[in-house]
Amino acid sequence: MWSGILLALAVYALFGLVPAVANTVVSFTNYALYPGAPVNFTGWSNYTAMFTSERPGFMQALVATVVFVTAVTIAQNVFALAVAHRLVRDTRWNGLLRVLVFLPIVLGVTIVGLVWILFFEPGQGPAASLWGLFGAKSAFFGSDTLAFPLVIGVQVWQNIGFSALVFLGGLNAIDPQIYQAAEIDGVTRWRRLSKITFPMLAPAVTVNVLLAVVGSFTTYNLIYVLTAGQYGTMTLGMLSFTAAFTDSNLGYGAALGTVLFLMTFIVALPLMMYLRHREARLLS
Amino acid sequence: MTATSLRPASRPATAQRRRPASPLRRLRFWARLVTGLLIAVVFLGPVLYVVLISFETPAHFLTHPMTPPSGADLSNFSKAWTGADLATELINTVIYSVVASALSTLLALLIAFPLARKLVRGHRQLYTLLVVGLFLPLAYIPLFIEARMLDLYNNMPGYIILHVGFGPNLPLGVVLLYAFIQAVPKELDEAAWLDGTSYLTYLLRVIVPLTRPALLISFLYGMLQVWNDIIGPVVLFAGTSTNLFPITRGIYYFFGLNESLYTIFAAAVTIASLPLVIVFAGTQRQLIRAAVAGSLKG
Amino acid sequence: MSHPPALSKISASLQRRRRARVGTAGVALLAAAALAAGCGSSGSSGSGSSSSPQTLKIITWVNPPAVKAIQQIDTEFEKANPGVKVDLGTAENVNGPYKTMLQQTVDASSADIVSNVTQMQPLPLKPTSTNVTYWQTYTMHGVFAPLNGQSFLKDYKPGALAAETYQGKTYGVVSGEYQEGVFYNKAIFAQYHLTPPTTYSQFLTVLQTLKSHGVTPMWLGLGAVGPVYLQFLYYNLIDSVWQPTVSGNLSTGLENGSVKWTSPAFTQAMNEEKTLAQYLEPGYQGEAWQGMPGAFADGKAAMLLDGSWDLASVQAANPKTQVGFFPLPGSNTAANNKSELQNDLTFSVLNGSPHKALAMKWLAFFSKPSIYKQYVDITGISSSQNSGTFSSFSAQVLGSWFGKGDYYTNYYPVLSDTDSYWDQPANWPTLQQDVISGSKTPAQVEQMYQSGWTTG
Repeated sequence: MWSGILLALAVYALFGLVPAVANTVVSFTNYALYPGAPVNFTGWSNYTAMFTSERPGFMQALVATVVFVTAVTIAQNVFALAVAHRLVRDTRWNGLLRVLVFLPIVLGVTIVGLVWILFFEPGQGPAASLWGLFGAKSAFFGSDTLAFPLVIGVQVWQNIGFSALVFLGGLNAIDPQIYQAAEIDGVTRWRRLSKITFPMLAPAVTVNVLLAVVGSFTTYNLIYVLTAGQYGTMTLGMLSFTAAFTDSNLGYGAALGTVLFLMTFIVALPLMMYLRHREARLLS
Repeated sequence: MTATSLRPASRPATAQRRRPASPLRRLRFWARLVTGLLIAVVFLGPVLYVVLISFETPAHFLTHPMTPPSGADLSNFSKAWTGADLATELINTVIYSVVASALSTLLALLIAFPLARKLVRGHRQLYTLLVVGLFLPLAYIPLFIEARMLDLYNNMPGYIILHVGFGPNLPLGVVLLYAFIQAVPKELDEAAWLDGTSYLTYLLRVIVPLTRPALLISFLYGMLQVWNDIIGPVVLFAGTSTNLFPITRGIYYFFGLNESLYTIFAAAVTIASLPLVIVFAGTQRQLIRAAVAGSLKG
Repeated sequence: MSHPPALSKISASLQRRRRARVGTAGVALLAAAALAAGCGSSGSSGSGSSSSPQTLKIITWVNPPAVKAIQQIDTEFEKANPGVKVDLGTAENVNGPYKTMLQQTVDASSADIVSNVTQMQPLPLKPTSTNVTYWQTYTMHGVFAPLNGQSFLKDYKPGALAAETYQGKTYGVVSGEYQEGVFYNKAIFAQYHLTPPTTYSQFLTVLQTLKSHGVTPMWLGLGAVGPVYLQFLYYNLIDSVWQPTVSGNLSTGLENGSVKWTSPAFTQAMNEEKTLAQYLEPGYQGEAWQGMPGAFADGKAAMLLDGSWDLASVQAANPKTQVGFFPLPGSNTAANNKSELQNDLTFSVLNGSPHKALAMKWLAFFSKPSIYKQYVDITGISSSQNSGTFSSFSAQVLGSWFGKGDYYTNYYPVLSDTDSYWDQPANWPTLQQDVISGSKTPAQVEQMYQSGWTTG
């Protein structure tokens, strides 16, 4: 037993904790990544820089992140639940549809991003043609108004499959006898959904909401592929990713990463405790 | 208990039947049809468009990408296949994601069990330490430095080992398994000890089947994390004579600034996606069955 | 809940042994790490010994024509130097993963030749850690080997060399340039008996003639990129209208404060910009930039405002299009109207490279007229060398303007994200759009540029 514990802890500490701690240390310096680079401790200056014009974009990214996380979490879970509900029966058609819903996940983030870039190509792509039917023109991923909603949409599109899978598992785990009893009692479908199904899905809801929140806080790869953070789509995850490229001082990027971690922690931990508590309450 | 659909196969004969009115049933049928079609269009449509492009010639794509090509141009596929060495990269990607995720799920199990059963002093603190790992920032540069120090840089085993501990995979597995293991009655533990079953055998023979959903979700999530890692290959691979790159690097081979290569890129995407789609289509039913919880009932 | 006695006894004894276990495990790990660190400190491929066979490592970003050209050259280099292998590493997107790869490579000295799309110059008057690029930081801190004294330097144009020179030493080789200006459809011009204009008034005549016949005179697309693509207008206009009124470089004058944004020449340039924009296709703000080559090749307009990097796409979209080129004439003095040059792919040698001599050999090989011609012809880039004849599509289209013109860095000052709002690179072009739409006058815009402008 002990060798297992130690091995797991060693791997986790070495490759999970050590880089994160090192990252926080770097955030207090002006560490640069080239041979012979001087390293000085700069105290809190990398952090205060976020709020000054020296490093513009932090506050906008903060707001964008809050919007992004909220929108993605809600939309992803609502749609995933609807899809799971629709696909719960084990028919052949549903089998096919399940494959389709999981398709974005199977394809991976780079392919998904590029598929949507092609689809929303502002010149002659399918979306442009459809839009043109209404007599409108848009730059889509290049437009200040549409880029952010589109990015949210693609993020949701990409991740519905996984959430739906978790919900499907949860739906399948509900004892059919409960439904039979409800049917006998004459419970309407809607009430059955809200009073029986949904509460019994609490574990699945916990997992899905948590993963959606944490995932959308830290995600950057899809945004990177779609817009590279332009046109108002710069979230904190994306900002922290690009900060490492904007100048040779890695300290600022590290500081952003630490701030992002704290934000995620502050939001996700109470959320997790609440959801677990709710689970225990509903299923006892 | 068998994992079947929600609707029971037959209803008890004595139950009072409430037959829904005919128009309502019609409405439900149409609702199912429409929602089904909607799902199909939304999830298949954009992908079909890309497949369409892979049959177009560059000139056609630049001027009229929406109209189907007059003749199928298969040269895009051969160019994609040879140009980017997709076969090797696809295999690499599969190896990296499957192995790394399997290992991290296994390690998660090895630490979640003692923690869930409170067999270790300070288990609460250890658990919190692991939960924190879910939110940690992905610090690639320190990882890069560490990888070079430990000679895990620019080789396959190194890449896999790094991904076992880096990222939220391991913590997620621990969190999920912690909850599921607590649902397993301790009497089973005791019975096994009395039987003289070894620790490892007990874990694998008894705990694993009972916590299958947690293991599966954790494995899948970890696999996807590694699969979708676009910056890891750039940071941790410097390039060697044998192609070690996963597909997230190879697929970009055609994605320069030059538009006319979009058609080859689309062909590459199609090629890269086919095996994955086929595999998933074949296993989806088992996957969902395996995700069923609550095998303890009945 | 209590454990059965057997279990708790075992776990207790295990806990006692735990300290010892942790101790030994920890020591083992440390030892392994130390051992590995000692063996693998160089870490990456391409490291050190000078025994044969030698491998020269070059890195660049994914740009299919350039990659193809370099690979071809590498094969020939290997043939000319038996025992040498050349390894070209790539990462996508010069502003994304390639930047990371460059970072890592520099830190680990794991390549011999590295490349970049921007150059050392121009440097801001007051360089700080936030307004210089990686490439500039590396150059200033001796990451690259100085090339002074190498035989191949004399093959390159002074302007190209100057872009990579810092404090008297040249640190890189600019492999080529792109050019901006007006590309015209020869067939349409012939149809209306038009010849390429060399002065501003001639240009207006051409535009009016086309418009009177119902032909869209010029095509431009701002969609998905924004007003920065108005540069095809304002760069050339600033160069042909404003620069001639200033002695020395306009950019230096603006940066040290001897020239102000509130200059009548600038006003004139912006007024011309507003006039010319009327001859763009309607709805150009929403037309995607990616669609520009296709639209032009399709004959949707007589002229295209673009850079020569798009010529390959034009040719691919419609090989039958006959394309010509002339610089955007903002001035009525023909000599003031020049094509605009942008330096592109630049090679540098890492100081920490284990094969410096071999790297220099490669650069010399690359610069040979026969080899360099291959590179230019395959990539469609404009030559940055002093002489040579080239047969690429770009060379044919650009004709006598091939490789000739003014570097935009000579007249357009360095803008940084830390400047005041309207002087930031993302916001500066927005005001140009306002001038065109009429929502602001040139005088107002000049005031906005000047009010926050800091000089060195």
